[in-house]
Amino acid sequence: MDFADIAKYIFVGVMCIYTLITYVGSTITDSRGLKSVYAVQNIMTFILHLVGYIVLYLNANDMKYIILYICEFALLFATIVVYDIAYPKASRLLVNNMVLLEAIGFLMIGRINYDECLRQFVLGCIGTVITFFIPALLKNIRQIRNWGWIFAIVGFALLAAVFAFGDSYNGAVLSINIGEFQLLPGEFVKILFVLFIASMFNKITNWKTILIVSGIAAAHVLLLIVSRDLGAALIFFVAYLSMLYVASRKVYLLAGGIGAGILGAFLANKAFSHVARRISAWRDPWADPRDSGWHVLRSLFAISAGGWLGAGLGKGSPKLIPYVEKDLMISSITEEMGAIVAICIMLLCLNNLILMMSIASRCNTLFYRLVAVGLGATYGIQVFLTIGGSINLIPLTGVSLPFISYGGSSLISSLIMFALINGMYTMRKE
Amino acid sequence: MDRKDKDKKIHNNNRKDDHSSDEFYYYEGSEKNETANGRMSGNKDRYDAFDQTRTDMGSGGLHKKRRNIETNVIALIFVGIFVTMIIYFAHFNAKVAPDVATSPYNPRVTTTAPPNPIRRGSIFAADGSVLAATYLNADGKEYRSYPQGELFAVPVGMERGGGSGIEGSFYEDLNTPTNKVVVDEEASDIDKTEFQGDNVYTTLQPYLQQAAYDALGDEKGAIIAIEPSSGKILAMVSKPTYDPNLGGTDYDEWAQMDGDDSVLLNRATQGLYPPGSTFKIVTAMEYLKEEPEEFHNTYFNCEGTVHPSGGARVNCQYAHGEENVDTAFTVSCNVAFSTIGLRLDRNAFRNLAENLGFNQDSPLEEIATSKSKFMIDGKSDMSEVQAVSYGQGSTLITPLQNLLITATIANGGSMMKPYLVEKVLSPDGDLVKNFVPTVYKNGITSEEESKEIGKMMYNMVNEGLSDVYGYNPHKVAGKTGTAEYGDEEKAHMWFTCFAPYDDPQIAVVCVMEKTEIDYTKATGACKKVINAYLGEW
Repeated sequence: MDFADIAKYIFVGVMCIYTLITYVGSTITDSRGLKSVYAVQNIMTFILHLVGYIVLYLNANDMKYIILYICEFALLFATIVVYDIAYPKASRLLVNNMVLLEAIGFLMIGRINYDECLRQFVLGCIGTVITFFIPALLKNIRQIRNWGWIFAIVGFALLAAVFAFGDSYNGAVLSINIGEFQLLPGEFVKILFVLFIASMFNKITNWKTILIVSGIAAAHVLLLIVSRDLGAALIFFVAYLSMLYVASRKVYLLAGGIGAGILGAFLANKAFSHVARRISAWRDPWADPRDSGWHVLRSLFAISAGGWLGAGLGKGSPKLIPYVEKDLMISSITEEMGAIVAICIMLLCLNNLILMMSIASRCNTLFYRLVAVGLGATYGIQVFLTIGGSINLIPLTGVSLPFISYGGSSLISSLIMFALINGMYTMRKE
Repeated sequence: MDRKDKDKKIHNNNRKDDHSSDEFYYYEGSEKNETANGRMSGNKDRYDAFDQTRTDMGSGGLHKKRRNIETNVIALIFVGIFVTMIIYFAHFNAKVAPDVATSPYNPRVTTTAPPNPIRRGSIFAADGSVLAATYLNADGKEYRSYPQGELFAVPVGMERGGGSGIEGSFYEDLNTPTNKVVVDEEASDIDKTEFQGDNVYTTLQPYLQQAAYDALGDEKGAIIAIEPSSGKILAMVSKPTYDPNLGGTDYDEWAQMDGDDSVLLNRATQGLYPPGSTFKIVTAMEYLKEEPEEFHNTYFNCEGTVHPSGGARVNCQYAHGEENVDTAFTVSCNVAFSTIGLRLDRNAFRNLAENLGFNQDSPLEEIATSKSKFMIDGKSDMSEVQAVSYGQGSTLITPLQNLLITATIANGGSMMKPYLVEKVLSPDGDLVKNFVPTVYKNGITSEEESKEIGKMMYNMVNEGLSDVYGYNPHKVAGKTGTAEYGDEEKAHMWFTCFAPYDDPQIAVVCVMEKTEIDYTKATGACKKVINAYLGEW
């Protein structure tokens, strides 16, 4: 029994305590109680991060892990402290959850590939610094709500540019290379898209607006489908649909939208071979285990290897999982940290979503409410697509897990989303 | 602007909205207010919570609730989705994951296999002599050796060709180092620690195997010897055969040989022959079961041929004259037995045959076998029943199946499961697997019936084979068979027997394929095996 074997019990314990205290914290209101909740959350986060890095250090016996740990710790700690001082009204629960997920992401990426982790850390620093100003900007630039068309034009142009000039990644056209950096504009366009719809519906919600917005939303979704970015297409669709429902307050539009979505999926299955391939692999991954079912089976094998408690950090085989640090992060986490930790992560993502919907319901301005709903739905469906796909509950779509997956675009876009939500918390009246 | 006023307006609009207005939202009215007010010019939305206090809601507790419905619905939908996902995930982990983990497509299955190489275990005969083992050759490389050459080729098999015989069926055991016994470094061609696989101990007796091998001579065919009381197979020979030591070079050539000459075909368990007169044992057994009183009082008058109306003409070599069932059995009278066959209940006949193992998978599991066939049932026509009753027609039988019928009679009507492997031991002597005699089928015939048939077989040898067996000191009981296959000069010559008749120790079957019609050859071969086992005289 080495330290990794002990560490896995620590991970399970820490994650269970964290998850429990977070849900308790969501229900209490007295400030003293909340303070201790936040304290427990942060302590658990840093125990997990520290123990994880001790394992990585012992496995590799390389000082560079210690240095990376100290840098990451500084970033995570600073995030908490700065938010606490600068934005006392921000949701500490949301900030703490974000920091925990970042810590897990750093840890797993560091375990898989040190260089990638270093890169992720640098981009995390940049993202944190930039997005730190967002809540203040959101509060002070009220004109944002009128910039709908700008958001739409910029966003659509970016997607079109990717489609026209982008690089193919596993068949999907997702990224533009700028020098050394690989930018995934889709990660940012989804935020612009939410802002656009919120802006449009904020003015008026008559049939004419609905038709215009729906048309533009459909154009986005279709462009993404032909770019083979099915996950993003679904995310855009769900964001559009939830915002339409909140703005219109008509249940039949929600139901009709879901119906249209199912019909659309059915038609896409018929029309696009790459969609049909994903769906057939989902229905029976064993039918073609070496080809179409290969991705998801690799994920399922990893999950099966983990069991409830995991094999121990560093004792799994992430190399046997395709796109492990991007799309199938949860499979690798399950393999090494176990299904209990994975379930805790799912519950914490759900907690984030509830916090987003909660601020949405407390916004009396339709624009902010719509932004919160749109971002919340985007976040929720993204988590569902990546985890649900990894466990073959739904077809695999190749979406990143916010804060945990490797990738600067994904990390910074997630940071922006959370910063926007915290901006709304900042604006709330006590 | 008066806040209450505004609130009211919102409510008014809200109501209007409920009466199906074009506008879904209720901000329209207050928009005008705000614009008029000059506040937040440029901002088209006019209900900004952050410009108001919560007391605004005072008049509208209901109002506030309404505002929350949509976000709550969306939140609830996501809670539902996530809970479904978590339950599915947990279920996958609890129920599905163990099966997924063992899938052959799982690359972890191979990466988690023991890293140490394994030296394949040995196969031993009942007297402890080595039948198969892995040694190092002159170059220091491991190779599989079969010290007895082609003598044990049939039951032991070889590694080549996917593993046949015991080498194939005990592949896993031979390659499993249960106690992780380490092979001597000097005896290993691999740098890593090499573990010794478990050893397999067979029931085969080398001296009897040798006797059977010699007795079969240059004939094509098979000899098997079994201990009727236990089902232990003592010897098994099939010819033509091969030297498994040459498998590495000659296997492809062997694999191309066709059925008649094939050395890879184990005639003892896979060869299907018409049973010839040996099948009269089954016919007699069924008649005894159906007519226990009449059995000994049934008389026939063989005129050398018989042709019942509706049936076929059946011939004997010569007219046997007046005879009862016992004498007809001894002289192997086709006329008498085809007549008996027509008297039988065909469904019961088939039932007995199937109880004896026809149309069933062979009870011998260790090596490849064929299914013996018995085709008649209630719908069969007379000529077919006649032919089957004396051992021709559509019936096909393996030597093993024929032997098991004889062994069942020798064992008082219960068939023991035949087996070739007694135990699997780890190299340091721990028992890994143990195989004990088990009854395959109880009470196929009663003890009395078995004794009756056994006595007929004993008489058959005493009276019909005195030129071979002399005064028959080992009290051999048996039945000859001459199975025709369309050649006037040649036939498959059978003899199936057990000894001693009153205390059975061994049962032996011999078939010689497509050989001269001379009953002394197969009977003589069995005699050699019996003498080797029970002692020369």
